[in-house]
Amino acid sequence: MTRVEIRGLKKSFGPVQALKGINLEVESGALVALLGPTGAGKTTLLKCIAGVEEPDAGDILFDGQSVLGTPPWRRDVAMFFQTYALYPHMSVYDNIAYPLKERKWGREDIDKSVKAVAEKLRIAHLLDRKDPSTLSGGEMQRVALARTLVRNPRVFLLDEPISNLDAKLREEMRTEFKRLHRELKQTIIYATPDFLEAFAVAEKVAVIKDGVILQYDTPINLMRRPKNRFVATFIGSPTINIMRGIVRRQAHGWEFSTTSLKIQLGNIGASSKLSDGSEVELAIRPQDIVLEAPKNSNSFKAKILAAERLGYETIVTLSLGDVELKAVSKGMRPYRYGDEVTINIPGDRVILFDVASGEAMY
Amino acid sequence: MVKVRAENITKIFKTLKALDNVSVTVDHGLFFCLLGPSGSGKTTLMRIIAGLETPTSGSVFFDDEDVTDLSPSERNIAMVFQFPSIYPSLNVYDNIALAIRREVKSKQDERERVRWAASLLRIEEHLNKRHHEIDFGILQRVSIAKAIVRNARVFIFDEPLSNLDTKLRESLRSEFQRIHREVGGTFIYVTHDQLEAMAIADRIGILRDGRLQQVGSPDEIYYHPVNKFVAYFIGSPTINFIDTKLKLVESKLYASVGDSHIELGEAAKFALQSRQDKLENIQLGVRPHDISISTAPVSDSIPCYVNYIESLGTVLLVELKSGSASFKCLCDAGLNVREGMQVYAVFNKEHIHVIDAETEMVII
Amino acid sequence: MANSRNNRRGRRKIVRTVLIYISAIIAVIFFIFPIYWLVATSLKTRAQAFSTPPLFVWEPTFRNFIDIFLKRQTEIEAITGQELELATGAETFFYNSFVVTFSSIAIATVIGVLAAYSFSRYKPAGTNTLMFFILSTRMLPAIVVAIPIYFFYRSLGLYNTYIGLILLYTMFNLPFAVWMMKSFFDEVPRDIEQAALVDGSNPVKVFYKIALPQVLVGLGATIGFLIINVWNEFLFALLLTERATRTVPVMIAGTRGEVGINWGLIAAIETLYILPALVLIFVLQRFLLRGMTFGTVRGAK
Repeated sequence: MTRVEIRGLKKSFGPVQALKGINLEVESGALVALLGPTGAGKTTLLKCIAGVEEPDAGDILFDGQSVLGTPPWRRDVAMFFQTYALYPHMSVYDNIAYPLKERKWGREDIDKSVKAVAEKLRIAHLLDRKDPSTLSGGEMQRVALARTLVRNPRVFLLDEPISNLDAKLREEMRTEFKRLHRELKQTIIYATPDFLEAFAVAEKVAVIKDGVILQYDTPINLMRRPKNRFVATFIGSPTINIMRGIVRRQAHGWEFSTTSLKIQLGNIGASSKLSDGSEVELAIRPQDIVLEAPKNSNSFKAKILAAERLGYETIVTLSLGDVELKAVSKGMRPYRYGDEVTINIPGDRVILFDVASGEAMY
Repeated sequence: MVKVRAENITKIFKTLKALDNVSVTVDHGLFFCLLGPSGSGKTTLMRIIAGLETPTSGSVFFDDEDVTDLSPSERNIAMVFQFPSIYPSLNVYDNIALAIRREVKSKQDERERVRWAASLLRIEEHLNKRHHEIDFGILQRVSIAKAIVRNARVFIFDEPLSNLDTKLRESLRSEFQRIHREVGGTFIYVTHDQLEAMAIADRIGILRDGRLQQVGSPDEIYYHPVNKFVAYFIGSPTINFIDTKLKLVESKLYASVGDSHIELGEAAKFALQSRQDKLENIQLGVRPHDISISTAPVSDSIPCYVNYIESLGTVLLVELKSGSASFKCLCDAGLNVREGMQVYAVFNKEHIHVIDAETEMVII
Repeated sequence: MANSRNNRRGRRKIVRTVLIYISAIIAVIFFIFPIYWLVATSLKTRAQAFSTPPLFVWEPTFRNFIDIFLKRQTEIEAITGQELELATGAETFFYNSFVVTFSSIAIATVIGVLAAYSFSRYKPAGTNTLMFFILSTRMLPAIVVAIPIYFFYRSLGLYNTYIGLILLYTMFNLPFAVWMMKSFFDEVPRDIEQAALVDGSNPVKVFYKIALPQVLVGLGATIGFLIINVWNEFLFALLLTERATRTVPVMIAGTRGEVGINWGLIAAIETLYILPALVLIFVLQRFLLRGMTFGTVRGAK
């Protein structure tokens, strides 16, 4: 259980700046997700924490002490690599036992630990395999995971541990990880590009893009109060709807208008930042759009362009004039292309963004 | 646009039986999805239909023509793979035009068709670019444009979205319905992602270990899965399977759930009548969103406690426990539940499946 | 209808298989024949070796092999009337070849592997320049430096010494070893070494526990190439050795019979000489095969 602090971390590879000044605090025993698209710097950050990459500037502290002077083999960290990085010339058993052998554990202790972690990950029957390359993708992933979990280090670093698995398997493993964290009670930093995974698994999520952490918050806050446009669009499935338009102050409050529609804004706390006649971007989550709503303010007629019926929800693509929006409705709805439906956009659920900076206005 | 028929296809690779007597029919103009986990045989079946493999036994028909021995080009099919297939030395326009070079009669005809395909895939602005100037997501759109621009008899897609980032996958996925409608051809689409299949297919064929499990529309497969595997594989979050004991009390059928029990509807009672003596080894299949929880006691509900909560953004996946039974339910993020709380779970009777645990067949 | 289709398929397959076998057999004959002829000649007397048309059936004799080491002095015989068999001392030449080859390859390999690993992993400043420099030495035709090296060696007292020849061969082989091994080390995924570092191994252990086992294939191939380079080397062996350090290739050139060239004898020497190389390659081959089946374990994406 170690508290990890990262201060002003910078790392460049030649002309490319992978990390531009990362600040992050992970409480001891917490599971924090590092969420970001490919190339955001997640792997680089994890490798710096592990010690296999040396940062150009900044500091990394474990329980208040800098670890930059400690080489990776003495940092007491376990890392899962996105590419699995299994040792091809060793058997499955030897792969998993390697970290323990390097730390000079006794043969009996090694055997017990390896067998225990193999049981838990349901790969005990694979321990004798001499050649890891004959394993299936899912099996390789679990062997790599076993190697990571076989010790009890200060910090666990997981780099996209389940990205390469089938959709169904990924779903199951998400739950497994949450369970694993409760059992291990260790500090875990988990990198992934999939926000659903990050939300399912972590207590707090750090959204990273282009080497900078944009927002570090709980899943609910990231959803409800994204700090900027990128966070808002990156999180949420389907992607949040964004429209560009003009805000005008009317008698009854602020109004957002595009060529196709006028939306009355509710009490969203942005009023102080708005200036009459300025251009802004308005965002509304597909889940917040009400379908088949009764007629009132902010109700519009829309045509259905597509309906994706996924079982527990239906994603509807709507067309209102020249604007295309997505909305989500519970269950399997019988919408078909061409149907007309009345929708409602709740004025108090919208989020406004400054066009130039992309910052949210609250 | 043809009707594709694969009859009794068996394919054996040395010692592995990849496909075991699989027969599938795709009516013309239909969007058919081959769905299954890795190793289920869906890719092998697709390759046999495309002509990239020959079956060990069985035949493939396009309309009434036996095409089993024909090569892919002889079959006149268009294919899109997981990775974009772009000629890097040509720009996007030429890439798409190349696909129909032999078909077009005039430059004008070519220009019209390329523009139509580009506008359908929303890539008009990239027509002049070369492959290193374009994002991966757009490249895949170009690959699709190259396929649909042709007058092919069948369009085959091999997991075209699986290598895209989530966001790109979503946006392209929702456009597939429109693309199919505009092109109007026979589409065969392979994927392991059941969300994709549910979202865009007219009909889905689920494979497992080389055997066809069920063929039907998304509705049919979702609401009436024929066996435990189909019920498990389709639907996200995964369906709950609960061991149960059935009891008939005063002409009402009850199923035990953990320490309590619920009443099953008339339909279930009817279906189980023929199995009077075999009420053993039964499982209930209930989808997480067919379960709702209430903090106050409700009739015909299961008292249980909250074991843990998984946040999925706007919804919560709540795991509930009652006795030895554990199941998950989907609820709104706003719901005020905490771990350890005592709640009452209500099951939507219309959507409960009764499964024979031994044969793994769904009874109702 | 299905039957005729299957028959068509079957027939096509048979024709293809037959064609493949015929081409393979022709290729094999093409390569094996010289060696067969060599061994055959070594078992013939001089007269038999010279016969036209060439003899394919004859009574084999092992006399040539004995003659390598024990020379029959037919002239002395003519004078004294006795059959004398003098030792030729040819064993020394074989011994010299072994010593020089083994030593130079061992040194070149050890230094080469370490250097290659440094270039590959640590990329010290000037790596690209150095690598090109190393490659350029291979573009030099050896004969260009033959005379200078001869004078160089004479003045340094390295002429006709083991060390001299070993140093020279090491110098020729080192660039090749470094270049080949570097590309093999480049193939080893960085991630695997980083995983080992995190798992608790220091860089030295990572080198010999993780990196080295993965390039065994390359190592086998490299050693194989080096053997070929040194074992058969003639020019410098000729220039820089006298009887004490002479190697077999030079000996072959100097083998003359009393009456013209004794092809049978030469063939025998050569047969004997290629034997160790064949054996070594055979051993390395199995090594190479084993290395190749490990493959690389990549996270499929």
